[in-house]
Amino acid sequence: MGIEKLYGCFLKEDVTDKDLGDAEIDRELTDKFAGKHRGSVRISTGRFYTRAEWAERRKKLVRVKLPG
Amino acid sequence: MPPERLEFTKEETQQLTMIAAYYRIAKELILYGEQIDPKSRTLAQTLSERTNALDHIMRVISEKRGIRDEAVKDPITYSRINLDKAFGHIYRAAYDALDWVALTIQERMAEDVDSVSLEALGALMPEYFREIKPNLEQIIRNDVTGLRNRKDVADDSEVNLRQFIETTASLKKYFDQLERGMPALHEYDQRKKRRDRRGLVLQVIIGIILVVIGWLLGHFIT
Repeated sequence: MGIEKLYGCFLKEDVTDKDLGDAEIDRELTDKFAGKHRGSVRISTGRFYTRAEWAERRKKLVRVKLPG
Repeated sequence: MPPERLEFTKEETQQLTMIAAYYRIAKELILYGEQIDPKSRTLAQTLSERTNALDHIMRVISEKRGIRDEAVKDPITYSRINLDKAFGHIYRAAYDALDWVALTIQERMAEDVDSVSLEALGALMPEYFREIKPNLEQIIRNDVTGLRNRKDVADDSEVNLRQFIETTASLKKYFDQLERGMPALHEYDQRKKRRDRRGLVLQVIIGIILVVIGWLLGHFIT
């Protein structure tokens, strides 16, 4: 393969067991890179809920009552 | 030298099977949630969980293939812990997606019911009052909110998740039933409106005729 020889070019430590952490998707950043982003169309077009947006929307939805 | 093929113990195979089974459900829920969300949005927090799950699976594969700087002292424990963590992330992705789907179904159903008259519902879908509404309210108040609260205190039990999946599946059943009935309910309301309009026009005409007759009678008598 040979690709493994390139591992360690960017960071001195071995990151295999390092946690990635809780990634927060930022609306401003996704807007900024929307033109260059080649991943999810939904994300690049802003059709997503950030953690805070969903928490806010969830509060409203929990209060929804069925008519009748 | 690592073996030519990736080899998994019986326990690892079971863990990977569980991860794959719950991953499929999480994926199905995420795609369904995007379909029914009013703005076709996705739930970004599941992306982070899925990425972290992949990271733990990659650690296990890297260890098994020897693609790491230092060998792991206890490969069996290392693998078990990482696959457990991978399952935990998929579990949370599924849980978050379930919560999103359940509440979105409730919102969509409330919008559907709001767009038709209660008379139409009573005439064409009496089960809405008898069965759907009481059951749905009970499911949302007790099951969805209750199960969600239990998740928040880190009760990562599979039984809890399975129960939440079953609950949300029954919500979807009611939602589908209502969605199927919507064209007929709208039709009922439109017909009623047309009937009411015809009745009103007829009443106006009769009123005008009576006024004319009254005027004529009054005119000839005097």
